[in-house]
Amino acid sequence: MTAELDAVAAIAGMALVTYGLRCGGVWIARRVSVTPRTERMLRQLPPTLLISVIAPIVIAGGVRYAVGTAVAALTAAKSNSVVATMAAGVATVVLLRSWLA
Amino acid sequence: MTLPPTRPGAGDNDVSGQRDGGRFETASVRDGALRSIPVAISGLFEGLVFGVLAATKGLSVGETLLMSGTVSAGTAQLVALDMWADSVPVAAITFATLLINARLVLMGTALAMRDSFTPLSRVKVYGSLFFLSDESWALTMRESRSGTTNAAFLLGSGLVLYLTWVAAVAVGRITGGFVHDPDRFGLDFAFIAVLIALVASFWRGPRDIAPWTAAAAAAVAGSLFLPANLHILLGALTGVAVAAVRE
Repeated sequence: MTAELDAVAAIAGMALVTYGLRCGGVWIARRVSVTPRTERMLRQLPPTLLISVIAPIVIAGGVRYAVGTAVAALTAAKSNSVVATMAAGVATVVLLRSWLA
Repeated sequence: MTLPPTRPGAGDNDVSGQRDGGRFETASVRDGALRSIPVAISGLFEGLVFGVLAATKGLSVGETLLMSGTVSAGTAQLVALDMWADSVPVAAITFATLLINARLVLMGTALAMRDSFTPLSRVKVYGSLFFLSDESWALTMRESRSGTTNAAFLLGSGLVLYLTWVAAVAVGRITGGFVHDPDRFGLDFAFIAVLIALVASFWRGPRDIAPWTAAAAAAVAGSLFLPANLHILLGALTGVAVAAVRE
């Protein structure tokens, strides 16, 4: 059970920020009202941030990752299941490796 | 002062100044716990995957459990894993967590409007809110349509989801320690596939295409010339800016 100092600092930062956000909604709701426009914009933060993580990795991963991404995205849209998406994506990438190798 | 005519018995709850949903009952805690068991079971797998990926990224068992126990937000934790390096970028990871979890504020606002958090003590309100997650929020909001919910339901449902998450992560991290060649099993892509599934869960319709495409393009472009991880920020902010312009 070891932990590096910078790792603990990062985890503490994540934990404090997250708990603050968990409490923030109720705290704010008692004082001001969030406009629907602001709400719609804030809603775009999680998906656009996730896409920003994924996109460069997929581009760097070449054909294998590009096809895997397409299969995973289709599976996610059809099934709405994390397990199915992972299974389809990983299977595609493993199969392509043996074919392309 | 004239009182509006009321049926006998109607509005009894208002006399004390306490709204009905403001109570905090053990029965509601148990109710929330039982209702979230099916969701918790389907979430076990995600915890396992996170644990295995944490092992491949070099997080110790202690670090992995500390993160899962104190942050307890799967999406933010997965993104932190992606940014994890020998020298951990503390500020960048904290900031990315802020952006991903900003939605918790909106979820809390929605809860506060529907539920009677107001009459409860601070300890009960902000204690229960530690367990606020996408899943516990959805369950509590659904329950609140029947008008019976309160912070107690959130606490019960959140506790079950929290404990299964931490337990599943622990099993995954310990098992993952024995996986020596993760790429062979396609685990290099498992991470991306999980994130793709999460992105899909945010899809609301064709309106999302423009901001999402802009985010991808900006992130790829940024990754070519920006210092590590800043492309994530650039992509997310570009996406939100495009969404704002189209409003």
